[in-house]
Amino acid sequence: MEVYLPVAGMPVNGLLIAGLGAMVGVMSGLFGVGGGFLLTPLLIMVGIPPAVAAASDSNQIVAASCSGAAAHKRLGNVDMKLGLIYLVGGILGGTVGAQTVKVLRGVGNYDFAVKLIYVVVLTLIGGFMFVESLNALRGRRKSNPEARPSRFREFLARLPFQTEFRVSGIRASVLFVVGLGFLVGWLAAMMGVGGGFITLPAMIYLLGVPTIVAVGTDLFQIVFTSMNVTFQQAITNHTVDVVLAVVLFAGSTIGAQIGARLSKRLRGEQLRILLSIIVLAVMVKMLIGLLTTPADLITFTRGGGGH
Amino acid sequence: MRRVMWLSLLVLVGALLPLCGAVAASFTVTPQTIEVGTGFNGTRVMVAGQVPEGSDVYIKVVSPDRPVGLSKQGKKGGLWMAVETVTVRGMPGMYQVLASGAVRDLPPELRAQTGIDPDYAAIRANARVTEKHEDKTVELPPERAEEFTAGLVRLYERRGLYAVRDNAVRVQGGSFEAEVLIPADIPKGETQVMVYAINNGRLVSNNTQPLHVESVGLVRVMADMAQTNPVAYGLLAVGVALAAGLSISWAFRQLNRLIFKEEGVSAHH
Repeated sequence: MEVYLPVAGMPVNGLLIAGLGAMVGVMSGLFGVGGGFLLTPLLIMVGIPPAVAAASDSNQIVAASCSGAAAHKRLGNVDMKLGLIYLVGGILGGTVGAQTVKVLRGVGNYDFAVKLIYVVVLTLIGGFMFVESLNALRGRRKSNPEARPSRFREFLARLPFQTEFRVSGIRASVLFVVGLGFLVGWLAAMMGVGGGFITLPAMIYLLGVPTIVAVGTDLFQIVFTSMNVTFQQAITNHTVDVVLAVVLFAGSTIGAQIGARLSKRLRGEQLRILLSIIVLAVMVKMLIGLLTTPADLITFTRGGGGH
Repeated sequence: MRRVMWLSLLVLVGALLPLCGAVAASFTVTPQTIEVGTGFNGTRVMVAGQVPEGSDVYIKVVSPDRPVGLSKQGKKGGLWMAVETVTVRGMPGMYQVLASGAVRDLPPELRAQTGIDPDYAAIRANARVTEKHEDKTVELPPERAEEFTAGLVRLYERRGLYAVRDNAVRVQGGSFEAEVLIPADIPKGETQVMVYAINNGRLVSNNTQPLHVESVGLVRVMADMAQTNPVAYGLLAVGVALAAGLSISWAFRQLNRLIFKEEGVSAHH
């Protein structure tokens, strides 16, 4: 079933795209991770220009995360103060990120940058997950997250503008929260992700936010950061393909239902190893793309199409 | 003075005679309009008509020129990235030649007359390749431009936009017929279909017909809006996503309640 993407200016197999969405949706249902960090590379692999893949993925994330965020808000799992301060950074970062994409596309190196960032990020995520689940399978206890980054936490406690976050029950520097939000917002625009893979560990391990509040607050900020990124990409780079986003969302929403049901029946640790292997495989594919001589030295500056 | 004018007019007419002397070939392009809609995945266009008996037939399909950005990849620190970026102007987005015989057999003077040759030399000669140096735009000398125009031809050929096909026109008596393969990413705009009939090394007939390529329906609305009104398009994209996300999750909650008699799992996370 061919679907012509109006902004990408090319037809794609709609079932293939929805299938990719479903695959990532199943994973998000199973593991509770967003999976945007896999969707953009998969879209690039099937021939969508990287900038269109990332921007449309951001658009899809708005759809995929808004109902979950609303549910967490109802349940009182969102630390609004933390979320809003984080968003100050997130909105700024996303806006700067869309401009960065524009500059990089102008010199023909956005494709290179996005692959490089993905190799780094996927190596970190995949490697961490792999080691962690291997340890869990061997029956070792996880290292105590409270104890490990103590030096860093001491440093955080000395930063200026410390303030109280009541819902989370923590004290933290506004500077650090805004800075973290900025980094995640910038990556959201560059990679087409929600950034939960950075926000969640940072909130839980570095700030000491309770897990359920971290999840709720993360989803809350993802909705607004992705809305801003979608809008910024549309006005700065004209790379948001709504048709692509809708097809992806149709797949991912069904996948998430399946994943959530499967997760009640399957054991987590083997699955986590599988996920980490998938993540590392995608990383290797991107790395090979950076290391091997391209088939043709001349390429379209803006990737994929000549539009 | 008057004599000079007459003389120059005569020279001009003489120069144009080979073209004017050619009878207009009558032919049709079917369909005359290609509509790029939501289900578009490329198409075929029939070109058929009459030429003087015994002629070789050459068909040229040319899209409007469009500027395109090209990069040259190079190795830096062990990784492949763009090391040079240029803009190529003056080359059509689609260019196909179909011949009843072999394009290679076309003699030089006819190549010059029709702009047809087997290796796109005529259109590549038209191209202007520029590079930005700080604030100035500099045109590349031919020997450096060559690499980029050749690369662009390869990129277009791989996507089926550029092609030179021998023995692709069937000629029988005074009738000819050919099928042009139109790839899915054909550029929008008015494409020209030109037919040349060649007999005994002379151009005996030629004519041009338009082929309209336009996006329709959702594709047109979205593509236009994304370019001409990006603010509205951005808001629409966000709105569509919110509406889809909230309504689908509501629908799944109802569905789960009905089928599984349970409070449904939330759609995401």
